[in-house]
Amino acid sequence: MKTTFKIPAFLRLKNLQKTALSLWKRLSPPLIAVAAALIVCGVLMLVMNFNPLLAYQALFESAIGNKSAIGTTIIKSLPLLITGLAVTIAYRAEIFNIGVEGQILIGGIFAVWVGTKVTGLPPFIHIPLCMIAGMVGGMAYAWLPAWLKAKRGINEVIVTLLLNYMAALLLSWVVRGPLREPGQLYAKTAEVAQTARLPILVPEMRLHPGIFIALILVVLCYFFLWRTVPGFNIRFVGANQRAAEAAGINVPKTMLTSFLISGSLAGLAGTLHIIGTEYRMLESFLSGFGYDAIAAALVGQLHPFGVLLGGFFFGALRSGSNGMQISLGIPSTLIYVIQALIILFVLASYHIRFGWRWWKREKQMDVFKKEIQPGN
Amino acid sequence: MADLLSQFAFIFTSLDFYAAVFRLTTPILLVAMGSIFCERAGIMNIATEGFMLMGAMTAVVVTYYLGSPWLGALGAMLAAMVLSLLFAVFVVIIGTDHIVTAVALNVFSLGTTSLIFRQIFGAMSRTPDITGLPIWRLPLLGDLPVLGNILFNQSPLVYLAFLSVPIANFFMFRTKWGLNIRAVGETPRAADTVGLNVYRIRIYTILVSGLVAGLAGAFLSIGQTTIFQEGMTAGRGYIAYTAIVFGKWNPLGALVGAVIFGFADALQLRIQALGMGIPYQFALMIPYLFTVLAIVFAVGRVSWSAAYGQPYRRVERSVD
Repeated sequence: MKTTFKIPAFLRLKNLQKTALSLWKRLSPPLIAVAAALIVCGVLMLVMNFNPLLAYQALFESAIGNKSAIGTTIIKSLPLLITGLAVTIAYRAEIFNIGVEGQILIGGIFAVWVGTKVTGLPPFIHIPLCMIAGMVGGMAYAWLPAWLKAKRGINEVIVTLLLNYMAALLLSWVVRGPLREPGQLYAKTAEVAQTARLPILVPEMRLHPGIFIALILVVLCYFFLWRTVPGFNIRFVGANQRAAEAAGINVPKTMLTSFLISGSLAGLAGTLHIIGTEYRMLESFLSGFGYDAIAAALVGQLHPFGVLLGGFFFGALRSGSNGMQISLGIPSTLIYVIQALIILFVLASYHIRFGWRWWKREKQMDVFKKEIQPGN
Repeated sequence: MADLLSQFAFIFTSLDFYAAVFRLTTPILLVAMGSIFCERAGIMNIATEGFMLMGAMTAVVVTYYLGSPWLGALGAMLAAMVLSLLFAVFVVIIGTDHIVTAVALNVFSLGTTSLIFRQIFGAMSRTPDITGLPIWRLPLLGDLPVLGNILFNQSPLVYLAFLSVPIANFFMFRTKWGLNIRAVGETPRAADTVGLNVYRIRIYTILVSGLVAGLAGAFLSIGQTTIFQEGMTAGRGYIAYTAIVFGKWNPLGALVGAVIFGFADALQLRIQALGMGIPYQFALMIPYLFTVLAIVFAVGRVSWSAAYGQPYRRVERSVD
C-alpha cells in the first residue's frame, strides 16, 4: 500500500499566518492573566516592604536556576499536571471537581497502605498494585459527589469542599494512628516497601518514571476527549446538557464517568508522588495542590496540552516560592495570592475581550429604554 | 458501649452544652442571614468563607491598634465588604462564573489574611493581647432559672444573629425591596423589563452579604476567642451556604439548618473535651458529616430558580 505524507493544513505555508494568529488568540489570555497577576503581586510586595524584582529573581532562580532546582520543579509539577488533567476531564462535562484536593489524599492513603502493609511481592506487581489502589481510593472518594450530581442534580462543589476537610482530618488521624511509623517523635507514616518504589532515573534531579506516565496521560487524555465516543459525550454534555439529552446521550452516566475518571486521576497523582518521591505521607502531604490544579487547568485553557504548560508553571511557582521564603523571608503563602489572582484574571480575560462591544451596546439599550418609556 | 451512652447522656443533659449550641450557631446563622438575599437575587455566593476570614483577621488587627473590639467589628465589616465588592465586580459586571470566582476569592483571602497577619504579628511569639467583645447578661431575662444562663447570657452578636431571622423574613416577604430582590433572582429578564436595575440590586445584596459575613468573622476571632489562626473559618461559609439550601432559600428554614450545624459543632467540642476514646479528628469531622448528610437526605429542590447562579446580560453577547 502506498501512503503519501501530507502536511497538515495548519502547517502549510499559506496558512501559517492564520495559525500563528489563532495560536496567539488561544495563548494570549492566560499569558496576560499571569503577567497581570505577577504585577499586582509585585505591588503588594512593595506595600509590604519587599523588593519585587529581587523576589521574582529569587523565585526564578530557585525554580529553574540549576539542575536540582529544575528537578524539584518537575517533581512538584507532576502531581499538578495529573490533577490538572483530572480537573480538565471533569470540567469538560461541566463538573467543577474541587474535590481533587481530598481525592489526592485518599488515593495516597490507599497507596501507602498497600505499599507498607503488603510485602513480599516483586516490584512489577507491587508498583502497579499501589497505583491501582491509589486510583481506587481517589475514585471511591469521588463517588459520593459524582452520584449526587448525576442522579440527584446536587451541586458537586459544596459536597466536595466539605469532603476535602474530612479527607485532611482523616489523613491527620492516619499518620498518628494506624499507619504511623512506630518510635518516631514526628507523626508520619512508615516508608513504603522497597518493592513499591519507582526507580530513580536521574539521581541529581531525583526524576522518576512518573514523568513518562504523566506525559502519556496528557496524550491519552487528549485522545480520549477528542477521538473517542465517551470523550465526545463528555464534551457534548459540558457544552450543552439539554442538547445532549435530546440527542439521546445518557447524561447522568456521562457525568458519573467523567467525575470518576477525574477522581481516579487525582488518586494516581497522589500515589505517584508517594512511590516516586516521598515514599511516605506527612500531615501536610501535597496540601493545597488541589487548588493549584484548578489554576493550572484554567491557565491551560482546559486543554491537555495547555495543562502541561500550566502544570509546569505552577510547579515552578511552588518550588520557587520556597526559595523566596528562605532567601528573602517572604511568606510562601504569597503564592496563594498569586494563584488566586491568576484564576481571577483568566476568568475575566474570557469576558473582557468582548467587553468593549458589550458595553457600547448596553449603553445603546439605555438610550432605547429612555425613548420608549412613557413620561421620560 | 454503656459507658459511651452514659457519656452522651452527660453531654445532652448539661446546660453548658445548649449554651454552646447557641454560641456556635451564631456565625453560621449570621452568614446565612446576610447572604440569603444575594442567593435570592440569583447569586450563588460561597465566597462568604473568604469574607468571614478577612473579617476575622481585620477584627484582631483593628482591635489591637485601636483598643476597642467594637471598632474591630466595624473594621471587619468594612474589610469584608471591600472583598465582596471585588466579588460583585467580577460576578455581576464582568459576568464570570460564580463558583470559580468564589473559590479563587477564598484562596485569595486565605493568602492575604495570613500574609498580613504574619507581617504585623510575625515577630511576636504569641498572639497579641487584646480584649474581645463583652458578654451581655440581659436584665430580668438573664435571671430566669434555667433559660437565663443558656439564652440570655451571651455575646451581643448572638442576640443579633437570632433577631436577624425574623427581620430577614419580614424584609424578604413583606417589603417592596424583598419583592424586587426575589424578582431579580426568579426571572432577571422580566425584572429588567419592568424597570428594576438587575445589576445594581445584585451588587447591593452581595455587599450586604460581605458586611454581615465580616461581622460573623469578627465573632469567630474576637467574640468567642481573642485569637486569629490561618484558615480559622474552617468551612463555616460553606456550611452556612448549605444551611440556606437546606432551608430552601427561606430565612426560617435556614435557621433550622444553622441550628443543626451549631449542634454538631457543639457536640464535636464536647466529645473532644471528654476524650471518650474517639480520636479528635473524628470528632472534628462531625460538623462536616452532618452537613453532607443534610445535603444527601434533605435537599429536594436543587436550586430555586432557573436563573440561579447564572450571570445576567441585558444584551446577549455575539459569538465572535
